[in-house]
Amino acid sequence: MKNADKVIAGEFDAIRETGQRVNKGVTVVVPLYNYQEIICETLDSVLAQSFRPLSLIVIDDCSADNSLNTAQAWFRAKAEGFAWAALLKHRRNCGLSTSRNTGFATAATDLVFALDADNHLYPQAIELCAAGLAHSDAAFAYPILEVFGAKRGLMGTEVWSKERLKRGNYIDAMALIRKARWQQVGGYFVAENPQGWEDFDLWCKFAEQDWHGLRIPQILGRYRAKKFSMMRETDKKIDIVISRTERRHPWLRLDPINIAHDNERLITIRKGFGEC
Amino acid sequence: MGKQQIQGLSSPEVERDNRIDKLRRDANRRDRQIKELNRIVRERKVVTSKLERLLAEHDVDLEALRNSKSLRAAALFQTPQRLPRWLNQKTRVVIQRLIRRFYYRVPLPLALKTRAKDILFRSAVVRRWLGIGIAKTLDFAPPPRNPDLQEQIDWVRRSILFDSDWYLQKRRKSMGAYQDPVEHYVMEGALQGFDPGPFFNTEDYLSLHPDVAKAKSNPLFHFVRYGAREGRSGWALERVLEWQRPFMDDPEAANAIARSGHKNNPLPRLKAGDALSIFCSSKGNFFFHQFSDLLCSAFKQAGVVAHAWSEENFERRDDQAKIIIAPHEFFYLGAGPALAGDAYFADAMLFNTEQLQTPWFARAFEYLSRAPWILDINLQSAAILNQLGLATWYLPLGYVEGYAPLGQQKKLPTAPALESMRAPLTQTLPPRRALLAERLIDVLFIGALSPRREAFFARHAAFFANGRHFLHLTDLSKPLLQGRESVVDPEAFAALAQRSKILLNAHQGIAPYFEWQRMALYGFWQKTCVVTETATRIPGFIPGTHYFEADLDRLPALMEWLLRDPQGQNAAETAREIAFQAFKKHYSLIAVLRELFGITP
Repeated sequence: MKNADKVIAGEFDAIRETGQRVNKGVTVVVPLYNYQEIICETLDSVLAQSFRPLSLIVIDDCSADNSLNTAQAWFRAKAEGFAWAALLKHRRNCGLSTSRNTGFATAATDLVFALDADNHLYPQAIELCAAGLAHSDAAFAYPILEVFGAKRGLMGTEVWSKERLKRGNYIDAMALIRKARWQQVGGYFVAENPQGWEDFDLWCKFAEQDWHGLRIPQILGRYRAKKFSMMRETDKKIDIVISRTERRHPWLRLDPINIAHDNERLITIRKGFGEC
Repeated sequence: MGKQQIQGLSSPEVERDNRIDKLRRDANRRDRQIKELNRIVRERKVVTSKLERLLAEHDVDLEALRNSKSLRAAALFQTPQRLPRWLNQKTRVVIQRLIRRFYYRVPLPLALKTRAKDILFRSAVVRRWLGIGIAKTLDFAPPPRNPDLQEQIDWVRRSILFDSDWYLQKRRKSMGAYQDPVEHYVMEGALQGFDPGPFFNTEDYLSLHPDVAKAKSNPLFHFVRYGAREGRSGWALERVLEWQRPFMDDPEAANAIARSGHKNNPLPRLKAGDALSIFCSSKGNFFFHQFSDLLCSAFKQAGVVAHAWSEENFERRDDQAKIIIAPHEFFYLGAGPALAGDAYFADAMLFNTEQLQTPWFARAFEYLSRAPWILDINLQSAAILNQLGLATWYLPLGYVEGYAPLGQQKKLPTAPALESMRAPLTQTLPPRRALLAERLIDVLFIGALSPRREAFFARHAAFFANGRHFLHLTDLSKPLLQGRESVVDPEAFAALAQRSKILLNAHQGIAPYFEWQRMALYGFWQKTCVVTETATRIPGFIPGTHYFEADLDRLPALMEWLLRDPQGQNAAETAREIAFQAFKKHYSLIAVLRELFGITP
């Protein structure tokens, strides 16, 4: 298999675990790093899902703030609402890709939803994405997202197209993914410094296997747009990330204008995440 | 409806007289204003002549002048957007005129003034502050300098946008030694900012295309000779809306004008057995093929032997009439340009689908002004084209019994955009008599992703996250060729509509057009309840009775009521039934064609 990365996951300790680890239904994976203010809102939106049986895995990537304690308190109060809920803590800070991989590797279900700690789901998100995948052979399903915060708008409106992907990413990480597909391509790519575009990289690996994504034609998630203050540093990083991604996927024809546009819409270099 | 139409047909003369009267009154008012202006200008002249003297004496450097406050102010007031919004429209227009005259009569070199304006215009900050989008000049050829005078005069004289009588009436006093209004306009009038006729606004054109202003090109000449072909918009949106205003809520008035067209230039008469060719570009927007297909099918049912062709299988045929759909595509794409001058098309009817302010209409304009007859899908736009002097008939694409692509789709077609749809929705279709409750999709929206729509859906995401909806917003910056992944073709659109309770329409921009294709073909025809943002009216349909309308941000509440409140659900059931009956009755495409072309069985 081309680009056969190995799944790189982190070493972790289980901080809390509630319920039975079941292989039915869907697992939501939430990597957590320095989001003590907003993590509860995010987890509440998972709890409010109409879909059951639902499992939840939160991976704390050695947050420097009080995120872990906040999550622990939330688990104490609300984790009963899930078939299985686990709060894990990386032994050292590993970055976003590894955190996601840890979560995916730990999940027992066939379907795993990748949710970042600062974004939200609308109540029908998992139900409709899972229903979409139930009768399709797509590798993953992604809904239309409402962008909120520093900007307002929509993401994920376009259907899957390798041609479109060639010119730059247009699908956010917030998606319901078949764990087997994730496994087969070696999971999220864990890059050396600087990180970034690991979700785009995953879509590219899927595209190389001729697998596709399924667009769910409904607004089901909320993506938090943030303001960048350190544009110059980020620009330099983006250059490195672009050339690395192009090396890994030579069929890409990244269009600078498109990237500039997508950069504004999709945050490429994840804010706040530490680097391995 | 039939009676109303006849009444409507009998009153255009009266209406036109009224309009002429109104125009006259306006002209008088304007003359008075000009008198007032002249007085002010005389006063200002004293001031400016001092300035001029200073200029000469002290050789003030140009750079400083360019940035001088007074010049910037003068340039600032060139278009109405630039006056504070809290002033009412009338005050704004008056102030604007005063300053415009002042600007043009300040005895400073025009180049200097234009330069100051340009510098100002180029600043993104200023543009954002003023809220003006300026057409990108990079895409257009630079306006040629010093074109031949005689050529200019010839083009202006030929243009339907130059109205000699109108011009003479307005400019009688300033004509001086000129006998010919065209000559006066080309030599002096245009430079002073005069309009060539009631339907071409010099100021709008120059603000839309600052490079033309800079080159001191005659605006009308530039538009008809170069601009139109390059796709430079000839009209500002707000001007078009201003002309449309009388027709917005009075579709009968527009219908009276647009159904009659030009009386001394009737459409060709057809009889059963006549041959008709319908042309549509093979390279263009896919939904125009639907227009061509639907028309063909209706003509056939009316007894005319209609054939659909594209520019690729063009050859001379022995036909009684021909229709070209979307001339802005047909004569520009693929082999189309080579056919533009072909005598075969000299007597073709052009089917216009575009609105006046768009670059697409500009591209069609040259062909439209040459064509003997124009058909227009939009009522209000048909009325305005008639006022412009183009013989235009309103041709709504309506109901055709038994037309399969828009008929009952038992199964949902397969396409990437529909892949997430699942059984039973994909495999079964609720019968036409079934209640809306049996349709599984709540709200259906299919359209281009414009910033305005994007903001709307984002604002009301919470509403759209609840229930079962189908939202398909495509990036229209790429041409919509059939076969592209993102396309929802007419059959699929119809199939989805037949499975939806509500068909939603939100305008792409601020122009409130009745999006006929979406609302009529996929709403009324499919017996789906139509909910639209407040739109212009069409004859025979009343909001609240046949469909529902509200301002953009009230749409979610309206849809909530229609979907979940028992009273609302009843209202939706009633409206879609009445709408379908009215659509079948008033908008039978076969009946419309019979009437327009006098087709006898």
